[in-house]
Amino acid sequence: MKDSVRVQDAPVELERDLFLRVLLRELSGTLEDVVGLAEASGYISVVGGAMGERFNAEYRRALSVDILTRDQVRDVLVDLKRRIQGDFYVMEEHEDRVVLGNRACPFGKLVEGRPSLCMMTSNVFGSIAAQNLGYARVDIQESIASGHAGCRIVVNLTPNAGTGPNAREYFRIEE
Amino acid sequence: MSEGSKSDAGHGLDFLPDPVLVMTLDGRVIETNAAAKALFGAKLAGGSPADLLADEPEDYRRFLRNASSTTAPRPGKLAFHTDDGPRRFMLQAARSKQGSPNVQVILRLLQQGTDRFAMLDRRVKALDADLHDKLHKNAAMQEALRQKQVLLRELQHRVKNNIQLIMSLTKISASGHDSPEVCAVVETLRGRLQAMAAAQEALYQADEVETVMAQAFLEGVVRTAARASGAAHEVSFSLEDAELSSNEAHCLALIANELITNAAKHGMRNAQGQILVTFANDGGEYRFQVADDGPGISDKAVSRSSGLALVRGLCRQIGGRLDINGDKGTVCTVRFRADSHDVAKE
Repeated sequence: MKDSVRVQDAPVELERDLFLRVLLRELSGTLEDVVGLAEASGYISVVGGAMGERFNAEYRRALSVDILTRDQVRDVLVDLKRRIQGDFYVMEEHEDRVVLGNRACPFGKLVEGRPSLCMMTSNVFGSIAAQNLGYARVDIQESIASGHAGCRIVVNLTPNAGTGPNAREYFRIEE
Repeated sequence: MSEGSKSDAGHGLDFLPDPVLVMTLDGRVIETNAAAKALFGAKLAGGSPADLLADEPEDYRRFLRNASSTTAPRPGKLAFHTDDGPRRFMLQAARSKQGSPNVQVILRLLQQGTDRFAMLDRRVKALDADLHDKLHKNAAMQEALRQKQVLLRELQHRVKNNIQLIMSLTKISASGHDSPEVCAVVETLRGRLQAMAAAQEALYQADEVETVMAQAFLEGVVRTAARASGAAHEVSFSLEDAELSSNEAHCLALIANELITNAAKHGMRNAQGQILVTFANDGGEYRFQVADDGPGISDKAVSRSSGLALVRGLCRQIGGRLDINGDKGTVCTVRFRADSHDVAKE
């Protein structure tokens, strides 16, 4: 008879972070199955917008500023992802847009096949950028969730250019 | 509606079947479509947000403010005054792209009964009721089947007891007769009844109500027939296993009894010899064979034997055939197709 392993010592891959990521994966998957990708993305957007406002306030308080500059916005977008184990970096920077790349999703492998979760990034980025710079149009051109090797996210800061099919526009709202 | 005169001018929303309202951030309606007018009627005419919106001002203003942050639709819920009283609507809201100096939010109301959640709820409820009904019927059928199986076992038990009773009555009836003919008839009858009783007992004791496993069943039948024929030491057997139906079991028991009795009676040389009983499954065709090493059997004897006539009749009942070879001893072979219950397993 094999030596019995104590339940507490069993090699089960489970801790709080993984539990919460699995929870989000299953929740977003259920939403996508039940109401479809578009509406699931809508629900994630509501959450993402609220989280964007919260993080925006946190960074403003921590940096002791009333409003973030353009450079601070760029750095905040990269930093907040770094803090949650993403690997975002600035690929290109232009007068009217910032292009961000990403090599690791904060949701890890659990994001694969869950494109609605990308609305979290779109809304957090869009909310922070628009609240501080007045306008943002976030276009997630490539994503790990959709099967790409990495993410490519264009944050347009002027409303001049046409809106792409996957782009979402964000505006400053009253505070 | 304070700016109701603009209603058809701005977004051109009348083609939409859902009620659509365009609002300012403080809840004033500045544009509607035909479906909204039909739904709210006079409620739109007052001009005050409180005439239309049933939520607390703080709540609907917060919702409108959040919705104004993006032109992508966001889901939500708001309560509206209708002619039937306050009613909460699922809706999608987004910032209008119209270049108005005031921020505008477009609300598309998903009417109860037509929004996707309501449809999904109805579908789930219908499926749930259907499933519940099927489970209920299935449980009732299982119970009915269980009761029928109990009754069938009881019937099989009684049939077996009745066969035993007939055997006893036959023995009692023959006890006063010394005639060899009467004794022969009684012995033949007893052998056949014993075979039937063996089949009945095997079915009664089997796990399945309508089938029996061939190996154990035939072993019992062969031993009983050999013992009754006084050839218990001469009979050997090689029996493969297979699932037999009730009908096949009954017929095969009588066939085995007849062929073994014949072999014991006619296949011996000076009460010496060997009888080999075989049952095999030859790729979906069952083969039951009784072979002796006696003097063989003539065509004439074959045609006159009432026992073999009985075997042929039983073969017909199970869709089988009887082949007899009397060249080197007597080899009687019965072949029949396996019933579908066993073929399906192969």
